[in-house]
Amino acid sequence: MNRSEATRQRWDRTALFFDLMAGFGPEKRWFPFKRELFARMTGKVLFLAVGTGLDIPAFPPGLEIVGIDISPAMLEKARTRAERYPGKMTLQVMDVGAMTFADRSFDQVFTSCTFCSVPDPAEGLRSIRRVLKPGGWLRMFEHTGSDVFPFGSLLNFMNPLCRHIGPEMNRDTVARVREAGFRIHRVNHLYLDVVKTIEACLPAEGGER
Amino acid sequence: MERRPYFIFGDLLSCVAAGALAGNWSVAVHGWMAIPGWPMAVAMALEMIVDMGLGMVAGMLVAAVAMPLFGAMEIMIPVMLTGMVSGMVGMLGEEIVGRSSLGAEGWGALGGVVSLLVCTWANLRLQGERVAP
Repeated sequence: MNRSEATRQRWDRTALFFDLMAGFGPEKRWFPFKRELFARMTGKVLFLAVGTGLDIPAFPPGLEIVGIDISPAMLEKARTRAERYPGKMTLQVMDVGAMTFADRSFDQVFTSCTFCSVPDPAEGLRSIRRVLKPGGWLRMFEHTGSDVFPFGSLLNFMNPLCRHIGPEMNRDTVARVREAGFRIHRVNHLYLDVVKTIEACLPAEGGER
Repeated sequence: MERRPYFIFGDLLSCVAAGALAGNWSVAVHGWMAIPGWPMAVAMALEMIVDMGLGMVAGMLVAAVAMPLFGAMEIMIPVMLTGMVSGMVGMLGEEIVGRSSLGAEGWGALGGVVSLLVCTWANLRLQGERVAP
């Protein structure tokens, strides 16, 4: 079984209890920050790893948004929320690392706790570069590892257990975004240096580094 | 900085609960670790390591219950830190300060409050915008 298939199966299993785990405390806590980040959505938007659609109520109305997720079970739960969105929202089962959209299809790409779970972050970011228009924005709400003791050590300690349930706890997503050729515009630490928003743009000149 | 009372209460409750549980477990293993003939320094060092590990397991258990109610990383990190600290503090508090009305659970809970304060202080220092070079 390849890593994408393993990830799909893991999130299909997690879909059974995902809303119970994340739908109240974490979502209520992060909602104001997500709404502020998502308020910057304009043009044609791709939302990666939309999951069960918990983030959809934080989207500004009236936009054209395509949401993808690797897990059909998660997307099945997202359908009701997507139907309620006051704009045009479509959902597709798709792996971030193997998106079938045409090159330069989207004005903006958004993520929400996505790159803790994408099997190959570098491949995922290359894929985003391909589907994003030159000058387009990648805006992310993510949790990452920490550079500060003892928080970094704690996250490293927890990672072997957490990765079996779902997310990796100690990824350096900011570095991966920069390495993928995006220009980091702003990183906003929301809790310690762990929960953060990352805003990066693809250089306009043909998207070259 | 979190200002909503519900979440502030949740953070405190989670850390106090994790600390008390870690303290309680540290007392439970104390009897097993007190092997006659062992040098005291070795026994204490070993017990601190065992208590720290058990405390982190206690932290994970409390986090599993508290996270759906109160948050994700904002619960997990202070609660895990509490488990690590309170596992050691619970037993040491009782042994060094002497038997007190606080008990190992009380010392552990106190460790939870201190751990939460450390996380809050660190959060105040770290949070905010970073304009990337």
